[in-house]
Amino acid sequence: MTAPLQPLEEQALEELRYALAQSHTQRPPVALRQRVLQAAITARPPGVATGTGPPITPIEAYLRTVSSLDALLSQLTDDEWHRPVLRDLDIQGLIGHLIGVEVQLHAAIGLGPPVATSPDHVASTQAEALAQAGRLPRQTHAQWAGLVGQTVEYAATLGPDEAMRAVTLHTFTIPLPRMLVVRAFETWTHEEDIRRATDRPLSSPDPARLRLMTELAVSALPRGLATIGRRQPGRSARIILTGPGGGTWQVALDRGQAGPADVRIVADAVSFCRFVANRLPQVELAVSATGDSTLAADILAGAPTVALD
Amino acid sequence: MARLAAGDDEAVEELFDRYAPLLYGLARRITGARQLAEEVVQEVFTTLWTHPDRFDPSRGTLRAYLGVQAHRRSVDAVRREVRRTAHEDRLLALSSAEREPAPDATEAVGLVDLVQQAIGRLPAAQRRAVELAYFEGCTQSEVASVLGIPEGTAKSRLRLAQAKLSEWLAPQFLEMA
Repeated sequence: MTAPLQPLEEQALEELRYALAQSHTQRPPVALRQRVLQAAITARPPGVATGTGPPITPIEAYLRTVSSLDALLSQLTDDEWHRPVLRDLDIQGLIGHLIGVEVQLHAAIGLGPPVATSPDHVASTQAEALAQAGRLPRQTHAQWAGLVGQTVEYAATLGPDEAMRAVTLHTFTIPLPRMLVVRAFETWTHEEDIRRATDRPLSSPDPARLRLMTELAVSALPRGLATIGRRQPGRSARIILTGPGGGTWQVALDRGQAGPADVRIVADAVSFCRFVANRLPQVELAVSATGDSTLAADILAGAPTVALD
Repeated sequence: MARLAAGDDEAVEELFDRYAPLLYGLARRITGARQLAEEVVQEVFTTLWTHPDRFDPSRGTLRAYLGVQAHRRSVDAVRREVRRTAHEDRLLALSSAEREPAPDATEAVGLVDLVQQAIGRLPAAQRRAVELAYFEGCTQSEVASVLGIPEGTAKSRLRLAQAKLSEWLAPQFLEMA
């Protein structure tokens, strides 16, 4: 006789009960499967992660992102403003880079005078970045805050048709709302650059903002494949980004409509955004891939090449 | 489960294929009615999909969680059905269902004795594997590690033990269901 089972908790008992019940299964009616799936997706449409909350506009996403960076910049000491952060830039220079991007965006949407630009995101803003040397940090901060404030105010005044007209900035020609999501993504990425440079904890976007960013990151995957010379016409992937702000996407990896997935990739939503922003090495990305492993490797190799830096 | 929360409806299909036979069998036994059993299975999977956060993996397996949900909903379905029809024979069924809801303290005490006796009948090697797996929360590889045996052997012992326990205990469990 075995020793008394103490403590035998209800949980253990239930585990045993249903393990044993496994040998008394009954095949459900064939039609039940489809009925259950239909009832489920009627109760909760697929695609969006739980905890994401109601959607927000790209304007709101950009406003929240610049507000977060603005608050961070307000905390920096003069010494911290001169910490090295990215490429050859200190934090003040990095904000100068963001000033340069915003000036070019203003020119592109007719909010500011025309400016010389180039397709290279970094090179075209380097002059503004270097011009910050010798200025007071608060002057740099104020100039950037003023510019992004004008962008948000301008976008909020546009009617639906006007807002959807295409805007060209560097290599992108996309509708303004989508451009604002690109700007939010880059601004968040640089906020995290500054946090790393000043030993502050990283800051995940709120779920509603993150949702727009994950959509953007997933939609950029075909471009990443093209960039590394591994276009995949006729092939599709199922991308599942977990956590609030994530979701599930069936993505055509080249042009056209998505078909049955050749590969399924699962990763944490925030980590995936850092990975696509080229801020998280692939070896540090906890990712699960099933299906065509070569295709999965290509997708992951191409993803960070779309980063603006 | 993370895929469910991320809105991956294919995950529901996979879980349905894996667990629906268990839940449907359970619900059929409790409700005794095909339609009620189908409704129970639909409710369990729909709730899992709409509220995946209600499953806490630290408190047990998904199988047990879904089993408990199906059990409770089946009992509720029987009660509703009895109230609806209000027939004498259904009232008797209600009395039976009310005496035996999802495991409560009284039922657990009875089951402890049954389980102890059944486990005591197992060969020593299988008994220890079962105790580690079911009552000490060990995975199969942990059972193998603790007992110093290959994982395949641990798996085999558990499978054999489970088959015997199923034979000895299932009638009582099913009766309680």
